Amino acid sequence: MNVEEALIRNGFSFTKDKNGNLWLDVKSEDVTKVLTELKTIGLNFLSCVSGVDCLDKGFCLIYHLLSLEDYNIVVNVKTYIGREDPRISSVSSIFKVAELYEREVFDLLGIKFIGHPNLKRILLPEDVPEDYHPLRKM
Amino acid sequence: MELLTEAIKNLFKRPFTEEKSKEKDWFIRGKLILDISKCTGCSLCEKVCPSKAITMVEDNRTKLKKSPIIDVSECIFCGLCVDYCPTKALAFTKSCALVSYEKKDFVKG
Amino acid sequence: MSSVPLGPLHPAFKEPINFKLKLEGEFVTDAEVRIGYTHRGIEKLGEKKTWIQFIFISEKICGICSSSHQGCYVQGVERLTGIVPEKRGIYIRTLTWELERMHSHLLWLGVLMHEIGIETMFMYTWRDRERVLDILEKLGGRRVAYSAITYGGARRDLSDSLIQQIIRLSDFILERSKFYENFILNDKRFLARTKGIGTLAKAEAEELSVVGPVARASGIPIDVRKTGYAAYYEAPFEVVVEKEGDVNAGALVRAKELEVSANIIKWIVKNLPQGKINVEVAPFSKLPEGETISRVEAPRGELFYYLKSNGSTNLERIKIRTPTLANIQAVAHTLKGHYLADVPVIAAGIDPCMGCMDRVVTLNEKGKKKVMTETELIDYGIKWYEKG
Repeated sequence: MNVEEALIRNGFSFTKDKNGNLWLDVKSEDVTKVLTELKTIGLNFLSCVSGVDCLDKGFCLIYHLLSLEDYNIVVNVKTYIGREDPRISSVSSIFKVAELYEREVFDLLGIKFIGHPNLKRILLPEDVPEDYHPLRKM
Repeated sequence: MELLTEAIKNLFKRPFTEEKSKEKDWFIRGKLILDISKCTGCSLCEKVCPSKAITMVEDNRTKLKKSPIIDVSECIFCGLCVDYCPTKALAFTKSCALVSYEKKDFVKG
Repeated sequence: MSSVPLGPLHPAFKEPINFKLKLEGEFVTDAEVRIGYTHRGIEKLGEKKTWIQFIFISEKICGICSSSHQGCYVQGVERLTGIVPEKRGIYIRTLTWELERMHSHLLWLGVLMHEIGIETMFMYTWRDRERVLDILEKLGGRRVAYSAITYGGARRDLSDSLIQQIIRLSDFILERSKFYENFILNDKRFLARTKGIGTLAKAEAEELSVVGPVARASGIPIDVRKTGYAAYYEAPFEVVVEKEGDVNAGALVRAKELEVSANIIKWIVKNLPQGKINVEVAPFSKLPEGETISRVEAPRGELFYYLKSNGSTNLERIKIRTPTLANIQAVAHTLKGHYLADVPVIAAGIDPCMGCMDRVVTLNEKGKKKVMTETELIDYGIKWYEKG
């Protein structure tokens, strides 16, 4: 399967970096929809969910997806969330492994995932103050 | 009695576990050693050290304004200071035995 | 119905991890994993150190796959700056990775045998592993943190006598891997404890996004080495796949991978190009702005780095996803329906590495450093347990 062709066929617009990885920009409301669509066209492996604090741009979440048939190309779905009360709908119903990755992002950056079955701290102890998230920059 | 003779015999035997440094091409990143006569006091080693094991202090060891002191207990043996030292004043030794009762044994100039 | 906590400190686990098990008689009906006991804040530390310093901090993430972490990070930085690394350096880097895979798989085989109770085999595997470690020490200068990789290639060149020793070692491992395969397939005690234990079907494995040898044991032919980074785009090798998905298949995959690694090493040493081994870089050089991802096949599976730079000497964000984090959910899943006595074997079956997984010691609460004395810590622990 050719990931690039499959994406074009389904009407996704993306940029390609010099290592051949694809980057998609989506709105935070559409993440669940886009990931469901991507899963149906064959990108069925969630490699990682990274969260970045981009200061005034808010928080950036990146979902790194792979296809098990052709794992040369990583498709990165990127979305921005506002700083005030950051929340986004969880993708753990689509990719089961996202449960752990989202808990990690919640723990370190404090982004709330709506619909997550078990949103608790994962790396830090439970008795850390609730508003303390070590990777936040301000 | 047998035990005592055995013990005395063992006193004069060479160590059962040989030190690795005896093998010729065996490169070991052991404790750091500073050749103070080569040091120019540029403090680059202090700046590149990831674990802040090197500090520049004022003392009367040399005529330099400041010279480095290495805290081996903090050292992670990455060798960045050895790589970047412009005059090759810092070098690795082959000694890996980092055992002592007191912290002050680890700090050296 | 009873609930049993297993860990964080338990003789069955080599590193701290906590399983909350629900039991129905002797059978596990539900399992929940709690991680984070060795959290060291390395991702945060990476934002404060310069990118050159972090090359040597990244290898402290894990004691077993140290050069995979270092190599993956360096590969990402090279992609940011856009340089082409030196070819000889790349070959030596690949050699380090393969030697590391050998020692990691041998270590894991030993640990599995230890969990089952076959101590003799544990001694055999660890004896063989010691020979690999000696070579790695000669290559990098230390047994665990070899620091053999640096920006633009490798740190130290190979001498002729070392090459001879490496060839002898790979012949030795080729011979031993046959012995291990034979043992895994035929030993009655081993089969009784591993055949049909911890089975992860292919569909479940895809659903849970498992990586590395765990995925390959379940029949998913995923191996990041096939994407052709470093010297793997030239080196000939085949991906080892098994179908069963149980602990036995996992052991077989790793034993066969020993053979694959030994062959790759022999190929690299034979085709080693001449030339420089690394690129010199000024101590406080800046990185260009941008973001990139880097993936390598660590001994435990796909290791994933996401790097973001804002044009200064430090990186803005370093995100690390280690293979164990991807696989640990599969353990909680496969535990269901098994005997309590099989829990250590299944948990060991994915080759867990907690140091890798948690990576982030004392918590600095908003700038205030909090250090506890021993008695304070004991009191705190007692209170914590009474509460929960």
